[in-house]
Amino acid sequence: MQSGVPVPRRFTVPQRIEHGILALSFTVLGLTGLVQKFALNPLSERLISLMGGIEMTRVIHRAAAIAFALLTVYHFIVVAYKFFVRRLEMTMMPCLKDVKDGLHSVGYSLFLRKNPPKMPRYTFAEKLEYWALIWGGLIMLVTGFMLWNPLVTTLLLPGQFIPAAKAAHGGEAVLAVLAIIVWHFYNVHLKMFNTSMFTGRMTRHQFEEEHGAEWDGLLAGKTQGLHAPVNTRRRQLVFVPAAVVFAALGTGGIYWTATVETTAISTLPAPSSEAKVYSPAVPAPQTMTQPATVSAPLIPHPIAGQEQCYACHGKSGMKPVPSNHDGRPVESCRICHRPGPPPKPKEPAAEKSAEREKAGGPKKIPHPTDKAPYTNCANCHGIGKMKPSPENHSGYPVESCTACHQ
Amino acid sequence: MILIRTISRFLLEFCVVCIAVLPAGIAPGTACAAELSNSACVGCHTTPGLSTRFPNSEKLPLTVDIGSLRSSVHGLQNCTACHAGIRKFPHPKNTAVNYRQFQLENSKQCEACHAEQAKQELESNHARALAAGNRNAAVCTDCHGNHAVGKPDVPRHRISTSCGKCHGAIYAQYINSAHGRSLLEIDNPDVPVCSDCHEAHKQEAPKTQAFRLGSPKICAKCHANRKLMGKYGISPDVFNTYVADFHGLTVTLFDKKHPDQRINTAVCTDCHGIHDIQKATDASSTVIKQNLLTTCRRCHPEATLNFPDSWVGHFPPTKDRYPLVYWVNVFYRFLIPVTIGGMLLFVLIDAGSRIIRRLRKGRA
Repeated sequence: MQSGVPVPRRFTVPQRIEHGILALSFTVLGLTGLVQKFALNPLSERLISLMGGIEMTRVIHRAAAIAFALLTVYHFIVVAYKFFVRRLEMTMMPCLKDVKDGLHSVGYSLFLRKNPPKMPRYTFAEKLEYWALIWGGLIMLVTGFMLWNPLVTTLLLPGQFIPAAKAAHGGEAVLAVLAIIVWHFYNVHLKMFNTSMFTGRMTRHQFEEEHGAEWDGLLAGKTQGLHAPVNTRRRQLVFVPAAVVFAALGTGGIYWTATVETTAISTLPAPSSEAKVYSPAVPAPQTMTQPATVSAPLIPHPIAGQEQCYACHGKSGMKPVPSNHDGRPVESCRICHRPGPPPKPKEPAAEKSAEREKAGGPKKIPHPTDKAPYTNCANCHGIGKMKPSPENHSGYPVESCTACHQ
Repeated sequence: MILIRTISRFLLEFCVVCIAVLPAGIAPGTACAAELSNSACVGCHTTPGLSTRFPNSEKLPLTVDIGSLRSSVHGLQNCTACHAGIRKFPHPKNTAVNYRQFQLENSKQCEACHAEQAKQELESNHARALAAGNRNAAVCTDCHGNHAVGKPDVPRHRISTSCGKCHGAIYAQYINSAHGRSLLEIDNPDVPVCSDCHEAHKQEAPKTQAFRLGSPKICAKCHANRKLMGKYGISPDVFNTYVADFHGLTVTLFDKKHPDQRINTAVCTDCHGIHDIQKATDASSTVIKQNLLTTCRRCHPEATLNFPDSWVGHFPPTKDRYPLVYWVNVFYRFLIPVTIGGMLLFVLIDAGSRIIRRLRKGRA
């Protein structure tokens, strides 16, 4: 295998810079995007905080998206230049040999084939990754635009395209990130460390193993499918204005995407129905009225000093309560029985009490009650006193005397 | 006792303003050295029409409705348990210059027994408003009443009607809302009354950012309760689906990390309304299809006719509802495992074969 043919450079400096920007924007997009998709995961929450909150995460995501979109425009121009102006062989184009190489490779791994496949400048694995990136990138750009500008999108498309775009954006993101981790990392970092994106070159051994077909071609004196470099000047004259227009449209479109729409107001929404906070209701709502009154006879006498209702209203009292009141404690009387109007003036009552006395009622008090010793009835009217009260009066408290005797 | 009664009757007859202005010649505290008992209090304070006037000529009724006091939760308490400053007759001079001041001063008595609630109340909106000089701000007795203190939640709608005394306009909205109607019509124990969202004693200020950002959690207390929502055929996933979407996610993250930051992303009430919330199927609901564009435009003023459809609602997409979203999800649910699985398989076979070949080579 020794020969004087040098190992060709795989990637030029601009290509390596392009790859670097792509790797950076892809990483930032993937990171800021996935933490949004799985935002409530504890790790995501920490990363979002680290990036300065969800709003800042979105800003970073969109900034990286602009870089990614600009790179896409640039890449299409470069590819178009190579195809239309330099008329290079489209070495990235998939062909039937890639399928055969893939199957051959699996067969070799399973020890069904003796030798590994001899592959061209871009192996089936690399082509798969490139076209997945192109396909995925376009989906991300389109759906990303829709999510960035839902109002513009729904001018033309039904509303459900927005949540559908969100679903596709998220699904494609997971797919892309996993593919990079599984496919890209294995093929260029794990399997063997491929330095061609850093130095532009790989070792002869790696080159022979990975790109056997290209190596054979180089040995046979074949250059990189380069046509004679004549005539490119005329094609350039056409290409350059076209490329400028395309670049202007592309960057203009990106600028438009970023600025066309103010999706939402930046202030707080006005309350849907503003009601005055303090507005005393007149009349007050019903349940705060006093507890319901029960229609029970009013108490026709002052209550002060006569709280022992059953002294008079007990079963053996002067004015017993109805039988359905049996067992009701004295504390409960005034729940229903409210104080009535104030006692009537004394004069008519005195006359009345004289009449009542005649009819066998309580005796009239024949002396003033507001001068000593008459202020306390018990001074004279207790048992064994000067003028004992009748026996059936024995339980009556002294405060209750004037309820009947006037 | 007779002496006291005689004097108090004398006072009643000759001095209607019996507390505020004591007649000259009666030195306070001389008439009765003993503490007043309930029966002594009611002796005077059941007299109909008994009242006094404040310096600004507002009338303070002094007649106590013993019936409602006895049937209140404090029915077995002594008058002096609350009227702690009044131990003797004649009473200490009333220093309040108007009715409101009298109420504000007297409501402080509640704290003696209800220390926990009083402590909570210090963090309330009412306490803050009062401290800021708003004398209309509610104190204990404004909500609970004074002598006729009942259980505040019996019947349950008593809570909301209590609030409605001062918050009449909001109350009017509430009783016409889905919640309020159900409360008043069938005394539904499941619908929220004011204090379920605002708390009874330590209400948060409802117009702060923190309250706004935390408000979906208040709704979720009931609306994420599977059992409770099952009774009414309401989806219990409304909160989860909200949090999973743009609005809810933003609000949730801000609520967790920066609750005080001003963020205008929609919370439940921005779309559904607050006190006037209606069933989502009600013709007057802000979120029913006919009204949705108007509702969206409150935050998205340039929203187009198609725009409201971009809100999938609180339901996972199905073949019939939002089929495009459904099929995109299905597509990726298959594409991702098939692609990544295929890649993994290839990688594993390749890696295995390389290891085996290297081992063989080393042995050779």
